[in-house]
Amino acid sequence: MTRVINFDRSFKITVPISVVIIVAGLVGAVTLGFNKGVDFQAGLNTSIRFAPPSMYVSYTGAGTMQLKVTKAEVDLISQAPSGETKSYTYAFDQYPTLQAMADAVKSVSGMVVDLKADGSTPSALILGASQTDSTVSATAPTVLHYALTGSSGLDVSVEAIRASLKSFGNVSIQRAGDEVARQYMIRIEDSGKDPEFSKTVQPRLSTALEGAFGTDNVIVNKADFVGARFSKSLADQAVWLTLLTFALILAYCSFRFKPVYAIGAVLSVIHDALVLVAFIVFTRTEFNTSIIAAILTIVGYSINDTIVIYDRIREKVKFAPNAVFRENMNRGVTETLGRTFITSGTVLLSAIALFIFTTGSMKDFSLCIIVGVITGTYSSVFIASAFVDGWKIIEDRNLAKKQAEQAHIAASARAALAAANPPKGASKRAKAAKS
Amino acid sequence: MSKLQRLLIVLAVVAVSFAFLWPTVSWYWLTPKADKALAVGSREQIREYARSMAITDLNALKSSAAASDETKLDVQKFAVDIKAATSAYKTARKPEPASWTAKSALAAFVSEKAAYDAVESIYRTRVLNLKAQQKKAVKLGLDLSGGMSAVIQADLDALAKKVGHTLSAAERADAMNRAIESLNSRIDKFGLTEPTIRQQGDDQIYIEVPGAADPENINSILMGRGNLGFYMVDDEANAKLASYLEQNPLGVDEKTMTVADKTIVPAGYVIRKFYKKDSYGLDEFTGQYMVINAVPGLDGTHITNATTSADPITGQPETNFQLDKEGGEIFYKMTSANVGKTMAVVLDEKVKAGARISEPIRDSVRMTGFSAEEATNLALVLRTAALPVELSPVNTQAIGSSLGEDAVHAGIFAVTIAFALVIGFMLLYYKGAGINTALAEIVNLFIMVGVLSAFGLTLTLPSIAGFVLTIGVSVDANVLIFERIKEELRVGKGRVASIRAGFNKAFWTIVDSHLTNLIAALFLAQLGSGPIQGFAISLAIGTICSLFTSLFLSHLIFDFETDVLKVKHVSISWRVK
Repeated sequence: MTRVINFDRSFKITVPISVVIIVAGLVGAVTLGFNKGVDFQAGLNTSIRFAPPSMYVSYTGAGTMQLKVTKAEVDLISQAPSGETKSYTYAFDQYPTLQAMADAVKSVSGMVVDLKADGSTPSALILGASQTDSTVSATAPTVLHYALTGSSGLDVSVEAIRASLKSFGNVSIQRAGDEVARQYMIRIEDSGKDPEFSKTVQPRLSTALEGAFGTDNVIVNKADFVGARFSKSLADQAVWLTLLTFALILAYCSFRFKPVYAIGAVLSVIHDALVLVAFIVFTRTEFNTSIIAAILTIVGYSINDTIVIYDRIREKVKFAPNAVFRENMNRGVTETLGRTFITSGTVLLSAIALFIFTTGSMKDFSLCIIVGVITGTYSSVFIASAFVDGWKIIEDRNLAKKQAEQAHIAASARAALAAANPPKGASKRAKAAKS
Repeated sequence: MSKLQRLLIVLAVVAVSFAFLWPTVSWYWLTPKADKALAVGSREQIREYARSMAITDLNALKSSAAASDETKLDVQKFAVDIKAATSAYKTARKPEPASWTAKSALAAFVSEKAAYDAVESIYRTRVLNLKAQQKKAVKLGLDLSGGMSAVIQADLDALAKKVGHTLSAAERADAMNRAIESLNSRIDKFGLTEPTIRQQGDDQIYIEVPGAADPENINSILMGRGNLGFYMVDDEANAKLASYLEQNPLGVDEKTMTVADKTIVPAGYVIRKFYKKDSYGLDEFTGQYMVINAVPGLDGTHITNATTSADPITGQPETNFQLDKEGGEIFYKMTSANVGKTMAVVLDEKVKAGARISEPIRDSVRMTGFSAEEATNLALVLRTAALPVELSPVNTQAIGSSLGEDAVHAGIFAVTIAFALVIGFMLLYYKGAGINTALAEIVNLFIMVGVLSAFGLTLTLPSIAGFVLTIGVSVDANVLIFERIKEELRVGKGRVASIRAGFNKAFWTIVDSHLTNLIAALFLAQLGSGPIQGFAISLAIGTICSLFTSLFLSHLIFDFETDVLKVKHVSISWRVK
């Protein structure tokens, strides 16, 4: 059997560290506040990309024509008045330039293509005609934008955008990705003064940007509007659900283990949630629904981890009921150490994979999961088990005190009887237990 | 349980998962794009498609037969017609013709109507089957498919102020119905995909239009007031149009709502489509057109209330509505001038009802000749104008389809990488036993997606994240068991005993930890809106699946190795032999 590691020795250092982090986090949350994300702040959140038009496409034939651009191809689906549908697929591989693509699309009867960019530009740069209805009309042509690959062609900067949106009040602008992609997150706060805000802000934004950067140079990739009412109910719900989850975990653990263990488990889970909060506050991570999801996931993960360790400790206690709890705990934690490292390692591997391959709010989410897995693993030993250990120490001490008291009463009775020197042993034992 | 039984259970679970998964596979990978475009349309659009196809086909056949064309039919082009004719011959117990010509195909049917019905039904059923398949397939959330959604708040307080008393539960429900009705009649103007519209909570409405993602569209749906009016119908032109359409079934140009023969519709009149409600409560084109006056005889704003009742004598359902004083005057003039003619109730350019004017009427109007359901629907339509409900967006979301495509790619990539990393690690660390994990994880992922499919859940980016994390977490159960087995091996137990003891000892630990995890996940699933829900549900499903695969499947694999492959040792660690 491997050597037992005495985890309890480090409790005196780790518990204060945790407390300091949590208190700092709470203070930070009150003084700095959260970097409230879209879901918790009334306003419009958009993802805008600036890209010049590569071609205008319109359809003058009978029936309807739908156009879709994917990563690999341009798809056309026509429906004749007779109802008959046909699909045409033009892969970027086969039609490598804009000229070739334009010619191909033009070959479909009824399609009119007006090439706007240099015909030799690679067709794979074509971006989806994302914001428009997929139906190609005769009067308002569908604009197919293309991504610029150099810094020339279209001058966009955070400052320039800010200047064009002066009239919008509180606006925050962030560049997403590298400069050449010309992609920006623009958030406009809803101050609540304009009752028509939710209905008018989107077209006003489009007009302002198009006025500053050219009519067909703006693609709105994403536009989320969140009303004040929505964000409030979401926050309330999140808090209530978290508390309820704690209560249920408390109940289940009291049922499966002893109430002391249950309190320890819930404390460790609260610890993880609060450390995460501290992390979110100090890294200024945007606080949104996916962050709530991350916190609750970590609650689930941490409780899972805690229970596995508790289970082993309980087994050790059953095996050696007369040993000091601390020894059983150290042995249990040591024995599960291999498992602890492997499990948190695999979860971390998955979370890191997510962190690397996603963007935006999912990236923040995975970062929180990474942090949470580490604290969740840590708290199972250094909070949950430490709490039970602490409790047992106090319990033992009280027991000792009680015994001492009983001994004392017995002694004083004896003393009263004897009316002589009181025995010294009892008070000494009580003192020893206290220290 | 014997190994065979256990194997059968595993196979059954996998088979059921596959059965649930099949519609997804077939919809996303095996359905041609043109067919998909048809199937995502509304029922009305599908019906229209089937009608057009049937008419075009039959017209081609008829003209070919009239010209005594004896050439064989193009088997591909007329596949549906030949199929319909074949079954018609079969039901009539007549022999099939030696070769399919236009004449022999048409001869199969007793009448032209029968031919039309048979062909139309085949076309329609085919697309409806595709649509059913789409409904069974895992749906992509807006963040993956692109599209727009909105949560809309109905301002019931303002309505209460307007009517002057607090609204009863029934009044609130009616107000919500009116709001949905007024949105309903406007929303399907946008895009070619079928929209979702449903009440959410007590006073909110949720709208979703996949694919088309113009955020300004949502506003135009909300801003536009329900435009209700009473229009006079030109009965003569109506009859002319009907007979014209019999000759030219596709005569009406849907875009401009005009016909080629300009003599049919008199100046100042327009063609509108006649709608009824389908069983889903959505508007459905009846196939009937109406020629109505371009200018309303009476505007809907004059309506003060509308109810339904039954005729005290005949028991016939009827719709009653009241007009204000000014409206009553206008209506009286209009009805006195048009006794015996038809009047149409039109909401947002859709004819909702037509009724014959039997006598001049003032402000209290009774309309009869409907089924009970139609009468209720009509009263609802009329009330949308009488008591409009203010609507404002609480939350709108529009996501471009290209953004969704990127997300799908990133998600699939993350799942694959996480999977490969975890499995690779388990194989390296646990050697032979790692294979159990690999198999268990593959089955796990398979069942998870199967369950997702079975419950018709929506796959979103957060739910993909849920899967990725579940891969990591579900390995935990395997690790617990393997570590226990290693311990047993260390104290010198043999293969069979170690494996049995390992599973037994780890059992409750695994159940406890999974159950608490499940509690957290299920609570998360209750947290209101989309993204978190998707994540929590996949986490919950993953937790349950992981219980099954780790305790059941992995054990079976060990036993299989012991009994069938006669393995004597446990390959589970580099150190423990």
